[in-house]
Amino acid sequence: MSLLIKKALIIDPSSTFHSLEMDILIEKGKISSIEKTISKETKKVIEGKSLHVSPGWIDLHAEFNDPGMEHKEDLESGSEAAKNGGYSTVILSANTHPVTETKSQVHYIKSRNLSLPIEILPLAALSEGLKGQNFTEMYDLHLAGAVGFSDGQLPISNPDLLKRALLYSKTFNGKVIIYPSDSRISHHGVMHEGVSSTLLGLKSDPSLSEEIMVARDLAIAEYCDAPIHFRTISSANSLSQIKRAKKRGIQVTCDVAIANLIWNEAALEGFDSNYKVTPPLRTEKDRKALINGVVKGTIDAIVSNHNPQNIEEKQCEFDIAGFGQSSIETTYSLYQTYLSPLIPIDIWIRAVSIHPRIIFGQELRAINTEIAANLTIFDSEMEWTVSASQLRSKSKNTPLLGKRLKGKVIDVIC
Amino acid sequence: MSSLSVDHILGIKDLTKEDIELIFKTADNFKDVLNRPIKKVPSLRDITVANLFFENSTRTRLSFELAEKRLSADVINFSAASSSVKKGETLIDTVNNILAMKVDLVVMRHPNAGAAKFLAQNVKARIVNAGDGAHEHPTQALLDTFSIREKLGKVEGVKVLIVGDILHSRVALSNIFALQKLGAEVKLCGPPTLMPKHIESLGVEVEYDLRTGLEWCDVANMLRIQLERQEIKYFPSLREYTMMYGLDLKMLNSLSKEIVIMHPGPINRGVEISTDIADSEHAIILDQVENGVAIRMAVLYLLAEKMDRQK
Repeated sequence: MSLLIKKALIIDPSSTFHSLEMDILIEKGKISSIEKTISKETKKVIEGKSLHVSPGWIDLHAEFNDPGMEHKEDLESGSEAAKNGGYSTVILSANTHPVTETKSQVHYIKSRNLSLPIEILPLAALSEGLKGQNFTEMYDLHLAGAVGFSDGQLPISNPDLLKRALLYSKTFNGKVIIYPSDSRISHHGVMHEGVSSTLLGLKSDPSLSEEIMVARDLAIAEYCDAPIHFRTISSANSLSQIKRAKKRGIQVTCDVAIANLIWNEAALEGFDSNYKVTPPLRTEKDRKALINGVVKGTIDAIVSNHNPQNIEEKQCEFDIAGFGQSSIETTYSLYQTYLSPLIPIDIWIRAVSIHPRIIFGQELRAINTEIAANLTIFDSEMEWTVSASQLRSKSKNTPLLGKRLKGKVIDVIC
Repeated sequence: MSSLSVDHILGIKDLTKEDIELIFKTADNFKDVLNRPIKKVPSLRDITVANLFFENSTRTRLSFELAEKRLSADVINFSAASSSVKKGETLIDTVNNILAMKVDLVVMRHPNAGAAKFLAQNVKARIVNAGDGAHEHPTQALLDTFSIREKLGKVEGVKVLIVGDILHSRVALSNIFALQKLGAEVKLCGPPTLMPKHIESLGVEVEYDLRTGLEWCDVANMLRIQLERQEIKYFPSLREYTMMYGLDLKMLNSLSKEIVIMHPGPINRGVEISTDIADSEHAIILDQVENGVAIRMAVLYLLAEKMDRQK
């Protein structure tokens, strides 16, 4: 299979071809040539007006619900959706049914990956059954191929469990990922506590639930002298704490969900359950601070936080609706449409490709000849209308159906 | 001919000042009807109303049923003790099954905020929200403000203190919207644990001291303490709540002016207000109940007027 990409702007800060418009020839899975102009007969040619090529994107947080909830998503549909969204690698949450907590379950995902169009990296549960009591066989899971340990969107309530997990996993560079939220403060809240929740009378989750856990977990990480990664930060105050901690040398990294960069609490005022997400959409001030955090590099990565829900979970009363958006296929287009004036493309590529690979110890392959092709090809100007039939995900729980967006992923080579 | 700007009564927030005034004017007429020997008009004889109560209610359900019967509507009642329809049939299915039997109007109480709006978006019937979670209870706020108008002759410029559990109260939220639309001033009073942190963004003030609040107001609306909606303790005991926020005759008499006392019911006697106040001339609690029927007749009548009917 040979492929020629014509006149593509290369976005890869670690490559010598960065910011250059080049033709790229791919043969037998390798980049065989990068030249100003390549004229060669190939099986496939990709051309476009505003074509970009970058190292393949990696999504740190997606749920494919396989095994257990395959009616929402499975490894095939999730991988197709991820590819449609520009990702060559996806890190999957451990909150499957049963929970991913033994090496045989890691092997299940690894072996299924052989027939999938993208690379899937599993996380393993941090605590047995995600119950927050005893930690899993982290070393064995690490050897089996789990790239990190996380209880997904369940917080680690017991600070001593987190302390032991951080200390224990240090010896083999195990990566611990924490969703900071104190459930005793969030109290089954279904949205952010703010002006909008006051208008709607919905149970609310104050930013305090996140901030208090960020403060606690930073102290634990410092005590253990171990790295910690916070998933999907949502509050400005959490961000300032992380910024200060980074300055002090605490080994902390974090990411933000695309939804929290695009919308604020006011999006829920029509009771549309597609905006019911975890972490909740917070204030405009938080949203702006998060965007600034990405620009300044305090936030290391942007994630889709893809959480597919079948229609029955969303087409119901707001309180009992499931959390999450099917977002993996629209993350880039949302960025291009709404955030590109604020977040330059270089930073986007760092946040979806370079930093996540560094955090999770994955090989960085700067775009060059003779390396295996792992590329995302996207068009920054192409417009499209989001429709259910275009989305490969089994679940269509997105508020974007019918919306016109700018920027489209053309292909993923991996 | 004036008519409502909305097709459903989901919340006061969606209504205009003109809507509220139209409802009041219509309710005035129905109140006259209710004081006649034959308390019934044929306005809704072609209309079937379903009262769907997914949460316990006595007075609101009776008030609606009476309003419907006095308008000559056909009425069916459905009560589900279960707090959630999730266990079995979905809400849309339940309601569509009832609508298939040719029902025109649905009055619904539901434990989840937004349920009435959700229904209005998904079924073909006019919806009246009879209370959805801690969101809105529009007809209660209409009857409350209607009762203030009746007692004081106006709503504009009147100072209203709402006392109690604001956090879990749909009555408080709807009252705030209604009173503000009609030009009244609103202050809230209650323990900080039962006060939404961002409530002042709605343009109301908060007063934590009951006496100071009472000295300020013309009308005090003493909300019911809804222990059934509190999953955790927001105050240590009812005894202590009453010590800080309960109103008795001694305190009322010590105020520098006379004020009107309201309560949406049902009263926890000796908790929010003492028995001697509940039964005194200061209280207009039973007027509120009486006005409730007229207000609900007005709301149902005006909604039905907007429907495509062959008269």
